[in-house]
Amino acid sequence: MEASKLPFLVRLALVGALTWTPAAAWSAPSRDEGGERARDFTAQREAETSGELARLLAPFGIAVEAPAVAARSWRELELSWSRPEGDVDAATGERPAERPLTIRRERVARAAPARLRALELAETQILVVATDTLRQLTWWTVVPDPRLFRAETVDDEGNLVDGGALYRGAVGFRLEIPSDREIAQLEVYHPRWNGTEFELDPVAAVARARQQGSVR
Amino acid sequence: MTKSILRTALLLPALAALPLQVASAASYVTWKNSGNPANRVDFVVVAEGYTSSQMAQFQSDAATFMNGVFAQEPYRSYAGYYNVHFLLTTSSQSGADHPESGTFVNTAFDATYSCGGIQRLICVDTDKVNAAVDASFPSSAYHDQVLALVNDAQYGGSGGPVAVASRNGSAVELVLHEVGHSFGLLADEYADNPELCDRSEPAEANSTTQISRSTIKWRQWIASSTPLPTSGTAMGVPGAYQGARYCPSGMYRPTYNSKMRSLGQPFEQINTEQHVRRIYNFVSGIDAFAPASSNVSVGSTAVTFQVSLLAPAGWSLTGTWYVDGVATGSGMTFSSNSLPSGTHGLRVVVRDPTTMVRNDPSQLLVDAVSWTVTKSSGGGTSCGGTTYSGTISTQGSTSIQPNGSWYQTTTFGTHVGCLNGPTGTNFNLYFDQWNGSAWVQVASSTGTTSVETISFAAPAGYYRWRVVASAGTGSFTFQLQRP
Repeated sequence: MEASKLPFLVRLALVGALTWTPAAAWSAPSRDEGGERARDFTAQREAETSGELARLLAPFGIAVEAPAVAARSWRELELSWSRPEGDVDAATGERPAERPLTIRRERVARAAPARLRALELAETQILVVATDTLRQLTWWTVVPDPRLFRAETVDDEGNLVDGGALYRGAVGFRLEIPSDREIAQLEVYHPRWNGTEFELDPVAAVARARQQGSVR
Repeated sequence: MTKSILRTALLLPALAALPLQVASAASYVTWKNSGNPANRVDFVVVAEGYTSSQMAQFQSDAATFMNGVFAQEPYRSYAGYYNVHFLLTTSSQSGADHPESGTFVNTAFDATYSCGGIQRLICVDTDKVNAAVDASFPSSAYHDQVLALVNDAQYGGSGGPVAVASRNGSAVELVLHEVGHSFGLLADEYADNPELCDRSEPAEANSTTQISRSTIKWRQWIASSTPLPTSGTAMGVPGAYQGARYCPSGMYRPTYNSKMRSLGQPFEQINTEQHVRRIYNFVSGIDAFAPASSNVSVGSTAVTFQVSLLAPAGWSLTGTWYVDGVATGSGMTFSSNSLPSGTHGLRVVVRDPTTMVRNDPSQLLVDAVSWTVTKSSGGGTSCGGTTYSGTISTQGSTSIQPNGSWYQTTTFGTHVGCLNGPTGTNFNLYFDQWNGSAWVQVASSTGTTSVETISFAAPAGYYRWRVVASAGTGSFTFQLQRP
């Protein structure tokens, strides 16, 4: 959704909450059967999204206290998500960094990104969240997992007979993030469906101030 | 997982070991421009294996390809929700690599058949594709889904955030299937990969382990007469058909066949519904609205509130206007003339009444705009035209206008009448047409104040207005514009 519309969405939620007067009786034509007069769909979606993000991010100590406010300006990040560099470290015995995330470049974005109207997760996507120094959520987005690659084969009758999702070892991708709010860290999570609901697996993080990847 | 796929998995790290790509911007043409990319689903078709002298051919191939996409539902009905851009990236040489025959060419994105040993599988360097796309468009709003179109007539393709297809016409079906995954978040409905089978309840909209009529996630589509599990072979009959998501048993799909199971088939109801919901996760049915401010003051000059709506092919979105929570009108505009003085909550709720969606738990097919409108007490309604005046001294009485008479029009046109009665009373306005033997009411404005407006388009004929003092008495003015 365009940037100019984002303030509207927030405004809509506020106006709906503050000005709704269901008892008003200016005229008495038919009332809406679906109860639309008492509902604010945008506010409802925002509340559901906030609640779901709070549930998903609580295990990682990230607080979600309010819907993310619309941004007025944006920056474009060029990220490198690399593959393992080697085997177990001979000195420490530890496994190497699995997927270091590095900010390769940051610049002013030329235009606002689109924004999803509702949080809809899938295992083929990644959830990217931004937090401030208090680990408060300041922004989020869901994008296709840039590591994903699908191979499927078809028989001569058009029947799909073989396939699956594969993951590339190293990828580069870009993100637009708000420039008018505090973002201390970007964290990448892979949604995992447990048969009932989604849970998150942390897969990468980078501290923005240092522009140096931390590793999970 | 089959051996062939495993080979692909082993190959990919080698493909991905390249440094982050730095690309220069390429020019693009917008083949389909439906509106602001921030409120559309934007498709980018990237040229791969086309030389600079083949850009016209690329545009022709891409247009043919996308016409194939938009020939199918729900793309056909929701074509106005999509933009399509063609990115004119040039390659040094034409075509794609064919390792199986020892043919290698130098192309922009290193497309190769026989990827991972699967002859029909085309791989491209997605980092290079993404770098070119990112460098060429102002924001990610311009590329919700990327397709690399490979200049090779041999059938082939692959899926993922960057879908890949050869210019072979049959590849359209493969891309639609793959976009069903990447954009539609749908599961495969074929059942021939028991190694990949996981019989826990899946997240996707088109597969389930449930067989109870009350718990199947697409239950709104299943007729009560359809047995569960469903064993019929008729197309387009929603039920619960055994075999889906690589599992031969214990996992059910919504229809006997669909594009998520076999190419050349329609998506069918449940997958189509999911596509439409996904479209509305990117797009609001409200494209624009006015006034932009959420707080509006109305004086003596009327303010028109309006929304601009997207338009599916074949039906329209509905707009319902609410004043203080009460439905008072429909359409895309609302005049402040219809508001009494005071502060009011005005809201328009827009809904897509499509029959393609029966289950919309997040209310994605609905959106709304709200205003707080403060209308000054002196702000009566105004139509321009001729002003007449009158007095009603008995509550319940009627004054015929203009001047106790009627008028004739000789052309089709809009009649507008504006009534301003005494403060604190309730005067109503009615518009009548002569049907040859009697006056018949064709419009009315019956708010709770004495400020009323009627705008009515009507053919040539005889007309009159009635002012009725429902509550209170006193003098009024009546303004009339007529064809």
